[in-house]
Amino acid sequence: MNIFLGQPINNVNNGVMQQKVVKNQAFKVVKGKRFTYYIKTDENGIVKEVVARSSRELAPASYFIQNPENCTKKLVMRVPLRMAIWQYDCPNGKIEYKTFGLPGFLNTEAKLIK
Amino acid sequence: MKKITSKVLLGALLTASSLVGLPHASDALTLDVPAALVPYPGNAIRAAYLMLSMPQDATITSISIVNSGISCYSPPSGFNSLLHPGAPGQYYIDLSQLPSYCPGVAPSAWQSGVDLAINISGTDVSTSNVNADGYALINGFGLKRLPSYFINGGSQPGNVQLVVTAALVPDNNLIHSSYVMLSMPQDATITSISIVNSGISCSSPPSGFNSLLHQTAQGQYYIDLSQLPSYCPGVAPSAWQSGVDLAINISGTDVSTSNVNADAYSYFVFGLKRSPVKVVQGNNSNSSSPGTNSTYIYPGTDYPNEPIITVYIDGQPVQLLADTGASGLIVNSSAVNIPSSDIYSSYSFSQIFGDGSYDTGIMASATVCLNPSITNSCVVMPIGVITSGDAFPTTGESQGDFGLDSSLNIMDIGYNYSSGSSITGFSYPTYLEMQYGINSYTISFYPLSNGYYANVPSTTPIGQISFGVYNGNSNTLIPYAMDYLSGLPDTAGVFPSSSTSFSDNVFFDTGSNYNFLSTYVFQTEIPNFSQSADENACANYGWPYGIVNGGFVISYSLQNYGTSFTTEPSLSFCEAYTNFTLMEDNTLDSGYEMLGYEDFGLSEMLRHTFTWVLANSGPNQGLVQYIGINP
Repeated sequence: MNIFLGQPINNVNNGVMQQKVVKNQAFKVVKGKRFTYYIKTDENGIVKEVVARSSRELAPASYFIQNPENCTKKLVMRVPLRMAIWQYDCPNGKIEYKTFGLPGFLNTEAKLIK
Repeated sequence: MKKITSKVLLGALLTASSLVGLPHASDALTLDVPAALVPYPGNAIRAAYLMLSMPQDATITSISIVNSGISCYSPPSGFNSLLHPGAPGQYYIDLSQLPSYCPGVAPSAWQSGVDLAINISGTDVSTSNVNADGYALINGFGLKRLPSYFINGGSQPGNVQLVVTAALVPDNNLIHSSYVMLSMPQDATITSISIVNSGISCSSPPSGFNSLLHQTAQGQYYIDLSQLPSYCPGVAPSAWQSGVDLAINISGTDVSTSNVNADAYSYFVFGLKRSPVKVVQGNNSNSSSPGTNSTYIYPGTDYPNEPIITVYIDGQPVQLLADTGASGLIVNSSAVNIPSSDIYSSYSFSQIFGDGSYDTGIMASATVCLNPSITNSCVVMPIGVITSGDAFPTTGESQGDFGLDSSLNIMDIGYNYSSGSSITGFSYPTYLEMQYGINSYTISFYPLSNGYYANVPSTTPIGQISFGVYNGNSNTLIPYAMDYLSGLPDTAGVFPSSSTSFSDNVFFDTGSNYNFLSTYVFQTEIPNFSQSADENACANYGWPYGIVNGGFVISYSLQNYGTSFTTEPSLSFCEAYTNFTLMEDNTLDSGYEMLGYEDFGLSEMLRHTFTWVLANSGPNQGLVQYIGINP
């Protein structure tokens, strides 16, 4: 499933979308086959942030960044085995792509930062 | 407060002891008082009494000092003349009478304790109707109970083990003095001293453990426990004051529970405390004694706060990450030599970690030991053999991951995709429980030399992991059970503040070298928290993005537990580029979106000792149910 940052949420057409408040944060939640996605949008329904959760997988950047091959990728930080943050400089803006977690609990987060 | 007099106490002892029933019957029995303190001119024992309840026609036939060869003379009217009747069948003996009837005992021995054996006979005498207890008043110290036991027949000679429960030991703390009084055959030898459940074996003095003994009379000794800290490295200073369980193994041709007795007491700021001593048959040093099943943790060289242990896989020593954030065991294929017959090449596994590193490999069966010479540290278990990936580079120190969370977030589940079957590699402790009933392990760390940080060489232990059988009170533990969505064990945590609180699941993860806490935690705990102002002061000095500035106090509470810590490091520390391998409470802001858990890494765990307690029956047998945290 692709949930591209900077694009309208209604492009997400696979899976059932629910509104959910998790720790006071409003998300649209989509349960896919491999990941559960937590999506934040702006007032116009444009995707600003996505968190993909799985017990055993990290979602690749291409799930959230359309044509990532057109972006410059830079490692911002890495904490061994537990977290990494990458910055993608793309023609349409900067994106932070963060992976985090441990066996059984893995999160991938992508958000527009500029 | 009402002042308690010795007569009131004696009355209380008379009442209490008459309620005690003992199971075995005999026409004669021996009452043993292992460490009787007795007034003697010039010593510090002001008074000492032994309360005795027995049938009115019973007779004390002899009194002797165990192991010394000393038999006390009978008073002219017999030993019963030493009895002072309190009520029908209720007596006490003023022990100050004994020295005149028991020649040959050194005066100092009456003060340090002698092992009295009192033989009682009579037609109705049995352990069901004879009871005893005693106490002594020590000048300037207070009251010490003098426990007593019945001896019914001998046991096979050879070895015994003394277990001194909650021994308080002087070590520049509030404990002024502490002694174990010991009676044993003269040719007996103390073969080892260890700390129960800790994995700590005390090193022997150059002349052997018997050199710790001070002899007061033939077969009568005491050990000044203040000698122990220098021989028992690895015990946290605070533990000597809060109490440690000592195991003292004694061997000798005539040694048995019939002729080895002991008692212990300590004197501290609140007065006198007795430490009861249990004497058990057999020498447990090479059996399933948990104290021997342990290994040191070393600082890794791959990055700071990397806990490394050496385990033996099919006899091959391998350095692995000691990881309470994962289950199972995975190891680089180049680090082990597993026979092809034990390789299950049709069962493959793959694993990805939070930083995006990964490994893939195949399953195998291997013998995994903490110490190959200790049988019950070895288990045969499925492991994952890494054949490719970058999570554990072969050039690094850590050659794999030794999962220690004992749950179901397993790294190595091998699938045979053609048959649809699988092989699951649980954590080593899970197999230890299933094969030996060893259901607990303790992970402890030594204090850091510079307070909150240290630069420890890779060859110097930073702590240890010890396996044993948990026999404490589970009501005081912290529930730590598996989350069925992730398989990860966790517990409910609360981060309080004066105005509000934030609740989240919490887990403890030695495999994480930082604390990863969500932004919600900092917003709750730090007044007017601002990511721009309160983070990344050290980011320009090689520290990761999102590092929380030093100096903030973070409090959290779990069921049965609460603590707080101060975030590190300070900007001045970062500016100084100080070398370190360990640091407490370096903490990262994991953001708003990292839903579901707060991850306390090694940086918080370094401050505490953790006890993992596994289920020993039921569907979750071998899986963690509780943890204990101390302090």
